[in-house]
Amino acid sequence: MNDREIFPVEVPLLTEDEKKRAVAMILDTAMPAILPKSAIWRELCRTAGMVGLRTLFFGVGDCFFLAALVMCVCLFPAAAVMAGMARAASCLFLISPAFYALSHLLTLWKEYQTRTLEWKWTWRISFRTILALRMLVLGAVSVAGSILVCAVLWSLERQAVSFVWMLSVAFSALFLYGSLSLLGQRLWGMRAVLPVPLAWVMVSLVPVFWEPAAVWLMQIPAYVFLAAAAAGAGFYLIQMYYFVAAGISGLDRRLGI
Amino acid sequence: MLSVERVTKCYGNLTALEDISLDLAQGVYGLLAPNGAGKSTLMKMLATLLFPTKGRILWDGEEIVAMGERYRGLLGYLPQDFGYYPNSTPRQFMRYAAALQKIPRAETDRRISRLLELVGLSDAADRKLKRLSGGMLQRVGIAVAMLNDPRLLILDEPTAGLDPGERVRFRNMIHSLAEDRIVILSTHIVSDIETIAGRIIMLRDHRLLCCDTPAQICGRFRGKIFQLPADAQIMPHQHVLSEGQGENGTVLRVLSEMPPEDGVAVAPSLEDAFLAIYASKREGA
Repeated sequence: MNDREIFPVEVPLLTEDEKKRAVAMILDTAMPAILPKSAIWRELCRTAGMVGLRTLFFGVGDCFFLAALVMCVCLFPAAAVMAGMARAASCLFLISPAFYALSHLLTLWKEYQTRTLEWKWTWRISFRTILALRMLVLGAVSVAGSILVCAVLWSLERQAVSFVWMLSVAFSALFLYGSLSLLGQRLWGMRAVLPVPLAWVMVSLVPVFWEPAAVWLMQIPAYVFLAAAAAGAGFYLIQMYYFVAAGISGLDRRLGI
Repeated sequence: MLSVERVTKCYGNLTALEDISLDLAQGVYGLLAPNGAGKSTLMKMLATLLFPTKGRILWDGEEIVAMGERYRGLLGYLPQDFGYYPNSTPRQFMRYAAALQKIPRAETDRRISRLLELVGLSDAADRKLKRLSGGMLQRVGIAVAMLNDPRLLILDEPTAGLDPGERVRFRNMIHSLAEDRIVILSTHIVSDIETIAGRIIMLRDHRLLCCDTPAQICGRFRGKIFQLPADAQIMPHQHVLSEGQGENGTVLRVLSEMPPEDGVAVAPSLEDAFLAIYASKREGA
């Protein structure tokens, strides 16, 4: 005798309407609504124009001040470690995304602490759209900041290595970090907010403390770093599209942020 | 019209809500249930902060999750423990909320002034939020929830922290607002809900118990609520609902199928009904 004969169970069959609804629900959950890429960027531009920088960073301005301050303080040990330029690549790799990562972490922490998230999830402009716009602005500020930091360190180290090489290292680090952090948030929501920067610091510290890795990094030519930066930037934009699309379609809370 | 169709919400092995079905048309609905019955889960699902494990929630026949921004545009939500930026003023915070609600700039200030006046905060409009009392903050919250003139207003414990005067003002405000929208509010203050809500949604054992008018709910206990002196002997089939102060000292309000000796039949209040419903549940458990 099989189980069905021992425990006869009457399984209710689904109606045609229930079947259609179940299929639609499975598809909705499994596949985020596909919006045209141009629509997403248009929506981002329209929202940016509508809210302006002041609204975008309302209540979290102190987080950027703090991040910039930490970044400035970090420049001193960075300059000391870079003396002689043996560890230039490792240091640049570590500090380039620091402002971006710190500002993002601090703003999210403040939103969480002030308990404003629940409200923001129910407001018309998706919280993900706001986060995305903040990340884009922070990215732009970080690019400008990286140029400035490279220029300062380059002049401090009496132009021991090429400025373009330094820039390419800084940009590759920034874009790779940005895209990995965005991928993490897109896939695992808030749970990825802390592990990604921690992992980045751990990995970046290896060449700082391990000579062979530092030497190997220094031998990588600028065009390789530039290619990595371009790939990172492309991947960042693709991740940004999916990140914002999920927010607009209302799937963001289902994904955890 | 908001329809909740056979909605179940599970957190792992725990079922917070089971097979809830409701149809809500315009008017005020009070959500009444003891702590842990699934009130907040239901409110959060209606605000799209949580998603049903089974079933669906529809606005005019369209699933609210699929509506995305369009649904959020017609929703006003006041969380139970809402946050704010302490260094901003009510006006600044409302301007911020208005921008994120896509309210046209030209209209924003006029709407903010009107709402601040409605909640009696015109004088405190430019004071820092950290300097406001709990009741004033709650009124700011209500004003923020109403910024987009919502078709569906969800208020989680809106009267918490309000003094009696503010509470009366709030009731009047909700009455005037409910004429052309759905207002759903949860509160543990039964007297508030009794005077505000046209219909009361009660949950028990994570399921829907009823969605009736206060009169219908109280009507179920007509002839079963009695007032007894505090020293009266309580029989096993009688349930003490509450104690109060009568003209001749402390009195007990008792639920009993049969009129008790020395008992005076009284009109059941919503609080009696609430206590009776959940007392029988406790005893049955």
